[in-house]
Amino acid sequence: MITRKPAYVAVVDDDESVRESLPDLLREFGYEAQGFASAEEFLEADQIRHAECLVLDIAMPGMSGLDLQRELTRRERKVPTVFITAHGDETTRLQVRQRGAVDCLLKPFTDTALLRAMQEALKQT
Amino acid sequence: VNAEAQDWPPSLHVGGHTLAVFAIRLGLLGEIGLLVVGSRRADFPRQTEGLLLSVAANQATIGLEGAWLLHGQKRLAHELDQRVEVRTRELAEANKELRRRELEFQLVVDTIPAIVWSAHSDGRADFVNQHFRRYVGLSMEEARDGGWARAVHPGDLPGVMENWQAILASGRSGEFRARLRRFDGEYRLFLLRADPLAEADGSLKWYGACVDVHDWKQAQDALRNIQAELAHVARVTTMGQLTASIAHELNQPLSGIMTNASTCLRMLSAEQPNVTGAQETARRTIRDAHRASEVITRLRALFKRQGTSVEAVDVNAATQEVISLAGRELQKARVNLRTELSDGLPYVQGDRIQLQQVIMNLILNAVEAMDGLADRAKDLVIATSRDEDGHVRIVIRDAGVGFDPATSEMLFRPFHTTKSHGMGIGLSVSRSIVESHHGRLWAETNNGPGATFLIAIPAGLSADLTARQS
Repeated sequence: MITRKPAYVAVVDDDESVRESLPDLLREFGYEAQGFASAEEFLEADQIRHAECLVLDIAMPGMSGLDLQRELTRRERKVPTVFITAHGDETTRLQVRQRGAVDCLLKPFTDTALLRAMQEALKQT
Repeated sequence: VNAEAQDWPPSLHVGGHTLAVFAIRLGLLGEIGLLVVGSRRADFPRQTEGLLLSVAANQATIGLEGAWLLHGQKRLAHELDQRVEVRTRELAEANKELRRRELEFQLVVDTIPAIVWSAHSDGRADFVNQHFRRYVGLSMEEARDGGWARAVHPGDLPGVMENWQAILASGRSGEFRARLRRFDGEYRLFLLRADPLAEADGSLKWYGACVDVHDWKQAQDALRNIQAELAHVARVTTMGQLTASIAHELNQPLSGIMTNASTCLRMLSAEQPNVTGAQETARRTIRDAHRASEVITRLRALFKRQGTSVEAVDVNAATQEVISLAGRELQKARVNLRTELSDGLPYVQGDRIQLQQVIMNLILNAVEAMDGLADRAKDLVIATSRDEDGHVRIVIRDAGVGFDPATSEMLFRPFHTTKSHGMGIGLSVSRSIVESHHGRLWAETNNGPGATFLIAIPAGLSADLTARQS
């Protein structure tokens, strides 16, 4: 039986509470997870090469989650992305999905919604 | 002199000789005359005749002078009589006029729609006008000395006495307010004013008036209530614009709560429960719940319908709170915020929530003024400082569309708006709030693009607030 190495998920959110709690939950799901306080911090980190899935907050000071997605596309580094936002509504969600995101979860979201989105995302890798 | 017509010319016999005598009256009233004496004799006049004639002439002169004097005296007496008569008439007229004026003055003092009184230097009342007597239902005798105090509301009496004694001791004009009882038992608020006037002997006499300010005070209170209502409406309108930010502020901790609780459950329901991890996530859940509750407390304070409350306001802290509440709005609009808050600012006295509303309103206006800006950065500066007049200033400078300097005052008119939405009461209400803090709110155009709104509020606290603060 081949045991696959757990998928590495990067969480980028300027909110400290999300940055702490989300990686914990993802680890409970069996993923390897790490939090970053900003898009800039993530772009500078080594983990950018390993990330198999991204969980990005949309509205952040400096580069937004969408800016980060664009920047990664520009660098030809295409990673399945799940957006999370405390601002949005269904329209935002649809718009974000049309731009190639796996999903856009509106805060607060349930653990099952997150799990479903992660499974969906990792199917793409 | 024989002056019969048949004896013409009249003759006079002197010493056996006959002389012809003729008197001619001169002057309009015959007041002088000429006595002509003649004779055909060659030796006329003889020495005796000359002497007699000279005596007669002297007598005539004396008589003449006597007549003159008498005439002059009569004339003077007549003139004097005339003058006395004129003077007496004038005096009677003056007396009549004086009496008329006295009555007129009495009428004015009694009918003036205000209470007028006077008092001795020691404060004892010596006169109260009819208006007072009728108003409170006391006679002059009853109101004299300290009797007027019976008309003062018992609750106000100690304050009235204290104020009145202080004014008497100072020897200077002063005023205070008190409720006076009307004859029918209703109390109304009056403004009592006393002015001193020095008497000829150097002592002071006091003159005063009491003006009914009851309706004015009620109108003032009503106006204040309406202002508070309007401020509340404006606040709710402002907060409405912040709905998205508020939702965000709440959704963040709620999201933390949900994720942490889920993690906690999963940690506990695993085959080998991770109790330590579960405890940590439970702790985080509580922390996030606190955070959500703080947001709600802050919002509740801003939404609360309340009258004005005066407290010591730390302008920097109040500004920071508003910035944190508007933070997401600024972020969403991609505004570059720079804060320059001066250290060691004195407290200002006022209603913190209302002042925060003004700051919030100005920040949201600035954000809106920079909406759609593409050719330059959306720079927003929020600064606090102390100016040379002892005011604490809050300055909000944007790089937006600005305004025409000629119409800067128009901005503060109610219902004046340049926006497609909004009521246009934000700046008008903001100004009335700042003015109720004895401050000033105005707008200036920048050297570069954009506008600057400035708030200046007097620094320092009243004595009782200072005591409470320490």
